[in-house]
Amino acid sequence: MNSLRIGISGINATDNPGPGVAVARSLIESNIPTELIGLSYDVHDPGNYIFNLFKNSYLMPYPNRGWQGLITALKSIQSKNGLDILIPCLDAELPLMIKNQQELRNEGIQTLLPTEDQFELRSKDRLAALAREIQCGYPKTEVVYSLDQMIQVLKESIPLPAVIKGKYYKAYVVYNLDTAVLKATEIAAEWGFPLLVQEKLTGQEINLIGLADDQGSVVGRVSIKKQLTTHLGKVWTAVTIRNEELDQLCDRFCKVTGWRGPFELECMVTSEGIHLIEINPRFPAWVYFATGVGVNLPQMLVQLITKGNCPKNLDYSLGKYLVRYSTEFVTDLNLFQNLLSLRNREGL
Amino acid sequence: MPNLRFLNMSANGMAFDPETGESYQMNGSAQFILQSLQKGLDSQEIASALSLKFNIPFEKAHTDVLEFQVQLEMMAKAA
Repeated sequence: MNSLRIGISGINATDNPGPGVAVARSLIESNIPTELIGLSYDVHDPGNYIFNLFKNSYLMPYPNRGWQGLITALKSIQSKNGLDILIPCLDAELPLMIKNQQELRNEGIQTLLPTEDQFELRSKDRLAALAREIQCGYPKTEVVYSLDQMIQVLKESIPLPAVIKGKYYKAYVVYNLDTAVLKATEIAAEWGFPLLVQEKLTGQEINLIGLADDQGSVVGRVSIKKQLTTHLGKVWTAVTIRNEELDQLCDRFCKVTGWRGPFELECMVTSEGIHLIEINPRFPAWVYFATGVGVNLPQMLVQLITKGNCPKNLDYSLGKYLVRYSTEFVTDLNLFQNLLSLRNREGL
Repeated sequence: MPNLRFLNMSANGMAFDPETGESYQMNGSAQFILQSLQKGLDSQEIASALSLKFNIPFEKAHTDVLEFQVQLEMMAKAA
């Protein structure tokens, strides 16, 4: 069997990691012959330099420059390297990839992504309605388009402490108006408005990573409780759990939306039950934890893409412990130079 | 209260709740009470056994068992 040439983005394995490197590790450990290609938006992304995962790595134009730039870059990679499958791992690029799935297929690049409608159903500004439909709680949330409006909301309808969230990335718990303005300004400067102001729930955060086939049926899932997180709430240590209510919520989410592909449910458990906080339409950065406990979701995703099905895998050990750590390695400057000048690590 | 049926006890006296991800450190008598609750014994039966095992009066053992159950409920609420 020829190796499948798979492009993976989100290879920014930093203190705020994208999922790409973990997806690549999972595929390297799978029994599928693959040749992995890193798709990077920053020459400094650590994944660019990891030889034992990526055969080559390419710099991509930023998604905010539009589809034409992205598809041109993907076609160029395909002509140089070959590209059979694409696993996009970043929120900011997903709308474009989802909207243009058919064009990717026409170019011989396969994916398993949600439809545009499914993607929009779980967007942060429509999550309240979806939460009602799949019968779970959702913290009181308001969309704001300016700092003045945010302050008004915090004074009148959602009292402090509250959570200030960007549309795509970042969320901060704030305890006073000064900090709220500071954090909102920070998020808006990076990702723009609107922002979300959300009631801060008191409870325990639990998360579920899952994969659904093209019929909206769950084929694999793993739940965890984060134990230690970074200041951005990214997992540093975690433990596997199984919460029946969360599993049922996962089934309802996939059934109601007909979800296709990877996803993550971020939830809070309070005395009133489970509340949905966020749904990520991709693998989270901790996807390797699922692989480590025997549920290799990236491998299953590739099987779904290539064969149309894969064996269900809902079993894993409880009480397994994830430990993230920092490390470093030394490499050659010419790789950095290749990326800068020729936009790929190998200088093709 | 954590689901006793699923609460896993390790050799080092830590109990892990696989539904919530919480871990609880337990002393010898707490471990004994928890294991007895998991076997389905009631508070009277556990207090009798505890009284014998640790050589303490039955009334004291019974109070300990009831307090332990309250603590389990409080831990579950805090989790």
